Order: sequence, then C-alpha cells, then structure tokens
Amino acid sequence: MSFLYPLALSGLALLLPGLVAIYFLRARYRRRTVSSLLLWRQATQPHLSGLRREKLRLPWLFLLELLIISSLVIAAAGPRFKRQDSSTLWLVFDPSASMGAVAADGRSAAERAIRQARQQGSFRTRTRIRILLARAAGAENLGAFTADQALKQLSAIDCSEPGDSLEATLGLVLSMRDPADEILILTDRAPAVPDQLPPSVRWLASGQPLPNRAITLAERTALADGRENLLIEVRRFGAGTAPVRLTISTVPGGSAIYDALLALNEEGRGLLRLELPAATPELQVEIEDDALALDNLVLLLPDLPRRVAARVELRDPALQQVALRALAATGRLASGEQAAELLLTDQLPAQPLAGAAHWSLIFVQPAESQLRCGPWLSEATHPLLEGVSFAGLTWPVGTNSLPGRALLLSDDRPLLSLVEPPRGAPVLYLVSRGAQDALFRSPAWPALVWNLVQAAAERQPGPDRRNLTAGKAARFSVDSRAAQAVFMTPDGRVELPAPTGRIEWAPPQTGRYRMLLNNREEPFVVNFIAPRESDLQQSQTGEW
Amino acid sequence: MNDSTSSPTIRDGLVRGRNLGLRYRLVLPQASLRGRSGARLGTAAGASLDFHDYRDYHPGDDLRHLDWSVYARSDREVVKLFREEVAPHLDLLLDCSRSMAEPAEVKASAAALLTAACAAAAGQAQCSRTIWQAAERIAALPNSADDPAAWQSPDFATTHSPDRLLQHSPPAWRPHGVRVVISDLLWDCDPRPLLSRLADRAASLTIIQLLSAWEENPTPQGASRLEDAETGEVIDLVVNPAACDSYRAALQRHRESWLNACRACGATFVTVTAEDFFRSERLSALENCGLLEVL
Repeated sequence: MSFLYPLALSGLALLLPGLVAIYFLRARYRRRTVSSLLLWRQATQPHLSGLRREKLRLPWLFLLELLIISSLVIAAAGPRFKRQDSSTLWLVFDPSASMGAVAADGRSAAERAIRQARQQGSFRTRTRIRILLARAAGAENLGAFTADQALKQLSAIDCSEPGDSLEATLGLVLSMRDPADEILILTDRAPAVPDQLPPSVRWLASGQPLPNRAITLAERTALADGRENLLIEVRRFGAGTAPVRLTISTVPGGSAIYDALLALNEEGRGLLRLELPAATPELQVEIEDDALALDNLVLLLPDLPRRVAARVELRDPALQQVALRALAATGRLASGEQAAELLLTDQLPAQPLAGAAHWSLIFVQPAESQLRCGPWLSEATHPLLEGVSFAGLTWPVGTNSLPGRALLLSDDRPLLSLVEPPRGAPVLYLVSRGAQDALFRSPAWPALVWNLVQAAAERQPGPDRRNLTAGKAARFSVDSRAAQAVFMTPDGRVELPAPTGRIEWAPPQTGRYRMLLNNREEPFVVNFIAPRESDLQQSQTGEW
Repeated sequence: MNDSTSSPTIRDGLVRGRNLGLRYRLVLPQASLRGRSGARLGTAAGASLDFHDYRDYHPGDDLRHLDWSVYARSDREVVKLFREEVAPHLDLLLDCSRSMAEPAEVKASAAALLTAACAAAAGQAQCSRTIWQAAERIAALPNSADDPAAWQSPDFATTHSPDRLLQHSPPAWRPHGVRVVISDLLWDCDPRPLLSRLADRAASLTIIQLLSAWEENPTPQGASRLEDAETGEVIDLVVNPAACDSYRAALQRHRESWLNACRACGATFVTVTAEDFFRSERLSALENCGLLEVL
C-alpha cells in the first residue's frame, strides 16, 4: 500500500496524542452524583494480591474515536492499494550484446540481472509485470505477465542487440505508466544522467568490466576486374595490446586464406588489408573466443556492384555518344538481351513509363534558352546528386517548366526534376540543348550517370548490399507486383509488407539470410559490428 | 420545606399516590393492635358492646359488668369483659435526605407517592396517621391528617441520614401503632439496634427500601468520578461490568443484613423500585408484603 499524500499521516502523530491526552488528563473521569458511596466503595476495594496483568481500562468510546481519527487520516493520505489486477511493474530490459557477456563465474550480465530482479520486493509482490525490451532500434513491448511468466520471458531473451535504447524506452514508459506504477530497469551500465532519474525508477546495473577482443570493422569492396579489397579491424578492449590471432577462411571449403597473429597498436587496434582475387567466395573471419562471442565472427559475401541493362534512344547522335560513353564508364552495364532497366531518351512519353524500365532519363530541350552560369540551387542530399557538383558550369535555361520535384534550379527555372510515382518507375528530366552542353564535359555528368545506374540497380529485386551490419537498416526491393518481402532468417521466416515495392529493414539477428524472390533467392549476411557494445570495460554494477 | 411545591414531579407523586391509596386499605395487625379509644375493636378488653371473656371479680371492678346469672347459678362472682374499641394509628417516617432525590428525581417522586398512598390507605382503614419527615430533625408533617394531595411537598435536601436521629431523638411514636419507614437505607450502620428501637411497642413495623432502577442494577459508565450526594465525598472508579457486579453483590449483602435484622425484630422488609410505580397502576410490592389490601 502506498499513499498519494504521505504528509497527511503526520496528522495522526498530532491527533493521537491529543486524543489520548483528553482521555488521560482531562476527561478521564465523568462526574456522576450517586445516593451514597456505601456500596460503590466496596467495589473499589483493592485486590489482596496483585494481578499479573491489568485489563485495559480505556472506554470503548476512546477506541471508537481512535478508529475514526485513524480512518480519517488514512483517507486524507490517499491510500492506494496495489491490488493484483491494478498494479504494474514496468520492467525495462537491456537486450544489448554486452548483457550476454559471460564473466569468469560462467554467468552473463543478463543472468545476474534476472537474479537481482527476483530479489526485488516489487517483483515478487506485483503480479502484473510489463516487460519492454530496449532494443537498439527502439522499445519492444513483450506484454504483461505474472512474476513466474516474466521470469521465463526474461530467461528466453537473446541478448544480441548492437546497442540499447534505455533512455528512450524509459521516456516512453514514463509517459504511459500509471502514477503508482514502479519502473525497474535491468542493464549492465550506469544511467546517462543518474541525478535525473524519477523517484519511481530503479536502475539496476549488473555488468562487470571484462576484457574483450572484437572485430570492429569488416568490409569487402569491389575493385576493377572482379577483384575485391578486404579490410578487417580488430580491437582489444582492456588487457593490453597483445597480438590477436585472426583467421580468414572461405565458405564453403574452409580453406584459410589468412591465419596469423595480428599486431595491435598502442590503442589496441589492428588493421588488416587484403586484396581478394576475382570470384572469391564467402569469407569467414574469426578471432579467438572471449567473454563476448558475438563479435568474434564475421561473414562476408562477395558484393560486386550490380549490373544494369540500359538502353539509349536519343535522336542527336552526338548526345547518343555522350550517353553511351558515360554508361560504359560505369562498368556496370549488363550484357545480353534483356529488358532495359535504365532508359535514356529525348522523347517525352505519351503514356506513363511504368513497367517500361526501372529508371528513365529524359532530355528536354529548353524553350527560349539563355545561357547561365549559376547560381544553382540543388537538393544536394538526394541520392541522385550525391557527389555531383555543378560549380563552374554554364547551363542553357529555358522558359519551359519540368514536371515533378525539382532537384536543380536556376532562379525559378528547373533544370533537373524527378517524377517518382509510389510504385511506378521514376523519371528524371534534364534540360539540355545537346552534346555541346558544358555539363557533358564536366565531372558532374559521369557522377550523375553513376548515381542513375546505382538507383536503377537498387530497383532490382533483392537487398541493396549483401554484407549488412546488425542494427542498421538496409533497403530491399521486391519483385514487381509483389506485395510483401519474404526472408529466411537464421531461425525462421519473416514476411514484411512492401506496398511501395521497397522496404527498409534492420535484420535483428546476426547470421545468414535469404530473400525469396519469384524464381531465385538473394543471400545476404548480417554481422555484429558494434565497437561500443564490444567495449565491456564500460559495464558496471550498481543501483540508482 | 421549601418551594418544592412547584416541583411538578413530587407533586405528581403525591396526587398519584393519593389516588392509588384510595383503592387500598391499610392492613392492621389484630394481635397487638392497641390505641386510644376509637372505632376499631382492640385485642384487649374494653368498653365496647362486644363480649370478650369472663374473669373473676376483683375489688374495684365495675359492678355493672358483674354477671348475675352466673352468680345465681354457681355463687361465683364473675365479671363479663367486653372487647376494647381502639383507634389504630399509622406512624410513617419518610427519609428526606438528599440521597432520596438522587440519582434522579423519580426516586423522590416515588417516595412521595408511597407516602401518600400509605396515608390514603390508612384513611380507608379508619386509621389515624402521622407523617414524619426525617430531615435536619424528625418532625411531623404539619398537615399530614389532611388529604395527601394538599400536603406540602417534602424537601429532600438534608445531608444527614436518619439513623442517628432515630437512635438519639426518635419521634413520638404512638404506642401500638403501625409503623412504616420509607428510605433507601443507604446508611453505614448496624440495622439491628435501630430496628429494635423502631419496633419497640409497635403493632407492626414495615421497612420499605426505595431505590431507583439504576441503583438496583447499575450499568457500566466507564471512568467515572462518583460523588456522594450527601457528604460530597468523591471516588474515582471505572464503572465497568466488574465494578457493577461488585456493586450488586454489595447491595445484596446490605439487603440481607436489613432483612435479617427485620426478621429478628418481627418487622417486614420490602424493596421497591421507584420507576415501577410510574409504570403500573397497582402497589403490588405493598400488597405482597401485607401492608395494604385492595378494597
């Protein structure tokens, strides 16, 4: 039982002595006149032998008044009875990977936290416990449970998140909970601002600062001719800068392409660069086992840039040459006869281009053109303009307008615009008088074409990358007319709605995944790369 | 006396007692009834027309009562004795101490009722009466021969119990009269010598103990400061069930001592409850003890 206004209980301390004083000091005896004391005097004769225990001689009226005063004071204090169905313990659990780090005693921080939670009085007394997981991407509500069910739920939690969202989850709980509810946070780190924790929040940290080795960077980037560059970074958190044994082997086959001690610098950091020959299969990168097993293994799939089937339909032969040359320079043109995924043309379509190609670039002649040299107002954050600089260019500006969203403007005249229907093919409009434009002789043109090819490639069904990092979202495109994306995860199958044909998703687990498409599968892997989580030196034990 | 004539409760008691007493007649004990020459036959030989007995003639006897027939037949001088005609008398002593008005005035009203009823019943029995008030001294009610409804209301104000007055300055009781004492008897004295003195030369003696219902059967009152109505003495007492039980036991012992003393001197002991007289139209307790009889 708790009280809304506990100060009201102090009234009991004031009223009770007053009542007792009234009875004991002032109104203890009520005067009554009797005919004679002859018979009453005999009633007051003392006992010949003392009683072992005197009876309470307070009148019942005193006890009644005492009861009334106590009831009034307790009512004023606003008692709140925590009945089984009305009270809730909000349990925020940190499912980050560091909670799964195993100490020398064989117990993880999560196991110690659960044990500590069981010893909390509120955990035993409350029969309604709502569990929220502070995942890296945000809070997840597991539901309300009894104490026994909650323990089972907590024991089944897989601590593999690349981070936590404890502060955000706590804010969410504070906005949702009833004022009488309590909040218990189970984690392995201290709160960011311990002094600002609300009174009803108990923050229990059960971590231990343990030494740990971790793979903190693993990238496989494409070079020319199908070769790849492999970059691995290994760090040691605590326990000096001794070399770390690193093993890189191919999958399948298991043949090691690297197995040696990797020297670390004074910061405990070691880098390995390897050039992989063309057609190198999946790689498995491992270091020795330690407190946290999750960051000791990385899988890397070959991730060559995707090729795109492009078609150029320009009436101006010079401009046709310019376009073909830029496309060829990307090195990502698909060979063979297949439907175009990228179309470059100078003919305005009479009908929407949906279904004709993934992407289209339409060259538009300016009306009453004037040559301008800026200034240019561009939407630099758009992926199509990534790395594209229009500085120093001259551009023929017309009076005609372009449809869609303007990506590049000169005053109020659009030079580049994008029409992007929800599920149709995007169209990019470009104002150009022909191959003599300065744009086609500047670095901005190949960069723009590269981005266009990349955008068309991302429209191909499958993940945008094959080597993903846990906790970081990746983009996935589904087959045309498919309404959902289907994945085979390390422990099951996941179906996600994709109404626009593309989704962003952060796979929760590390391991191998497959995206199921119409007639094929697109594999990808998710690795645990989270240096902050691997640094177990920040873990600690305490209560706030 | 004071202005208690304005007290409707005691006045009501007198009127109600008079009305009740008119339904009764004082029961006169035949065995020892004596008194002045009056309208009722006495137990001794007297001057009435009713034959009583014979006895031998002694010098000085009235020759008119010599039975000449017996003398003619047996040559014996025998005198005829006739029944004595007496005028019976009621001496009623009313305790006018302050305790008779406590703890509630209903007790004083009942005392007035009893006194008036006995006086009216005595009138119905052709019995003279004297009503004595035991106040600062024992004195006769001035107009006690009149209708009780016309009496001045007794003043229950004295702080003395009547026991010492009765011992040292008793009233002028009429010899061989019927004596009645109305009191709560809450005195701390030995009743035997007192009752012996009261019963001396009395035709009968009836002691009526009048108590209120609460005095008969007290109920718990909690922590109380009890004050004696007469002496002003106080005691602090938790009047709980145990104290009430102890009180009742003490009352029982007190009554037994008075009952035993009454038996020893041939007196009658009656206990009455004040409130009963205002709930009933009969004086059952006085009927049962033989003091009054219904006409």
